Amino acid sequence: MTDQELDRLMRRVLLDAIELEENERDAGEPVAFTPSRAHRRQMRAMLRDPLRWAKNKTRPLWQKVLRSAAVVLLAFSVGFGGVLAVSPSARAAVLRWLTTWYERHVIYDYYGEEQSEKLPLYEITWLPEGFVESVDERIEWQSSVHIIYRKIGDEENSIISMSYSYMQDGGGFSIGWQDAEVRPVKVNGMEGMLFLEPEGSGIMSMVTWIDEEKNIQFDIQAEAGELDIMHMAESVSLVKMPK
Amino acid sequence: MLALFLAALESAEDKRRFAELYEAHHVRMEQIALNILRDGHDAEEAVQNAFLQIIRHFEKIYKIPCNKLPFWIISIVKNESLMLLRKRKKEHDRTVAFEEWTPPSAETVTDWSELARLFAQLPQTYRAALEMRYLLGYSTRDIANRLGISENAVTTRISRGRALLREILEKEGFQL
Repeated sequence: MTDQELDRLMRRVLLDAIELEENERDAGEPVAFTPSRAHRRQMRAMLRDPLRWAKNKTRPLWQKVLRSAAVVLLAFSVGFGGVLAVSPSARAAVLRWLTTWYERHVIYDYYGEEQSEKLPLYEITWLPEGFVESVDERIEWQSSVHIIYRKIGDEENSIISMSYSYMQDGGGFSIGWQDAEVRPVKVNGMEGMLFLEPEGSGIMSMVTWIDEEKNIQFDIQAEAGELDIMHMAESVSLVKMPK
Repeated sequence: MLALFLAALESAEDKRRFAELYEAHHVRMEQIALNILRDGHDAEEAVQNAFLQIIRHFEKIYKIPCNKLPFWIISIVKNESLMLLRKRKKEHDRTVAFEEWTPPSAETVTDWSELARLFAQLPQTYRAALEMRYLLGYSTRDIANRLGISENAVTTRISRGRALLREILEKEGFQL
């Protein structure tokens, strides 16, 4: 018997062994399985587009947390010689960020002056019902802050995240999306962009905006519709100035 | 890996077939996962992981005889559930260590149905290694990671399984 024949027979006997068990199993009262809402939603997304669902499921952890409007704080070493042929001080006054758009992602390169002051503390003051800050997950660095809000007792483990950072020379910010509708918005009069993923897609939408006066870029990500995500953005308020 | 499976399941026909497969098998998959894991959330995770494997290996469904497809799917969900069970560290009293298993005598097996019964009675991790290799085509390293055993242990299980099968099939009087 050749190895190939043996392999084929091995496949057959393994499948037949399972069939035997299935035929002999107690077909009495089946175990009650009640799928959760989260599971049903996953299955709907899977049936709508199996490949996309599989792709989302196999993303690295950081991408899963931040989902499609993935925010990555990039430590760019931007060679700015070719960007502006002006002196550093003139450049800082004129240009504090530059956006480069690609098919499904955009990169914000920062050129602002380095800030010696610690970031002020901002928070979302209007949240959808049930969400509270997950205090243990707050990250406060010198030039960026990340805050996570979770819904208590939510079996779907929904999160809302907010982050913001100084637009300092050498830093940057990258946003990627799947099927989002992308368009400019104003948040309390400040220029921003909305990345609105299709409702029910299981993917977080995102809004980002820039406070030129403070030299800070903000972003909020949530699995929410336009009204809610914009409402949250407009509610972001200063809660503490740096000491 | 992802690039490979993106080639399958792109056509409308594949998607229709996948939806049919889901409709036909998801209930049994859920029952199997729940029976093994005894926890609804874990069962959901195992079922989702199983569908992920089915999507990844979707081209295989065209190579498996239609009447055997349910058992291929059962193998996947069963092994995903067992893997999760191991992760949850609930399996201590369920796993039969390879070393404790004494292969039965090939002499007692005289036909195919007895052979299938013998393989149905293999210890779980032993059988899982064979199923992952022969039904899903996993590498030795993948199997080792999934079962939480060394690559050597995987190789030993597979070669002993093959040897047992060969011995039975080649012995005098066996009716294939």
